[in-house]
Amino acid sequence: MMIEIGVSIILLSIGYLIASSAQDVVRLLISLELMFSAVFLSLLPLFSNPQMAAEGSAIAILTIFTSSGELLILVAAIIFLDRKFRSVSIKKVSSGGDAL
Amino acid sequence: MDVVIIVLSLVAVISAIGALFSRDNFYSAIYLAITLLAIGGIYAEHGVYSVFALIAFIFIGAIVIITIAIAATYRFLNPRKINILWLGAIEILAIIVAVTAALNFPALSGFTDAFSSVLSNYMSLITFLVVLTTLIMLSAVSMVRRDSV
Repeated sequence: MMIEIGVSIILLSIGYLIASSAQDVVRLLISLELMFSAVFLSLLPLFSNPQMAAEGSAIAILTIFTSSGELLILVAAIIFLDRKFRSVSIKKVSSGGDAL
Repeated sequence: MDVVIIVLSLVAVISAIGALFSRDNFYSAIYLAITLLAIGGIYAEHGVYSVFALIAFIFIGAIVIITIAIAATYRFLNPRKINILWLGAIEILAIIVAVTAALNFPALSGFTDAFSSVLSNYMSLITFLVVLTTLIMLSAVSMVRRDSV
């Protein structure tokens, strides 16, 4: 039994719940980070095989750097949103003219 | 089963629930940091110290600290719009899936950390990622500065 896999699924579901109930983009950023934390935890079985441990470390590094870059872009987008609309509410976000 | 892993898993889940129910973005971000620290602690308990260092120093030390700073700036006390029925249904489904996956996943032991061989085998990948992340940061800073003029 691997309790970490179960915890990873529960964290992912809580991340989805925060994203679906978010009213502002900062809460959306927090939910994304929680989902990435679930992804980090699900990488743990890669380190159980000594022949795959180096590949597991490489995948973990790739995941952490990729998620960090993605979240940095979202932080810049939050700053843009605040400068343009003076608000971080999701109601201000629109795509192609349609309110989300 | 290791008691420390169970305690860290409980801390991670409880602080994630705290992030869900907290009305203040700042406290939600603090709960998120606690969740990530518990996950890093699980890696450290299994002896995979390199991933713990990556999570603690890169993810928590950079990204989560920026998130906490932004959340402290925009402490938007949002009205909750969670339907309790949906919340219960989703969480019960998630717990059933989580318990099924955890029970059916084979018990693994003997986790190994191979960061030294990563440094020799994947040095070009790591260099590329560091350069790419630096480029993204510089691009974001230049975009924000250009927009402010």
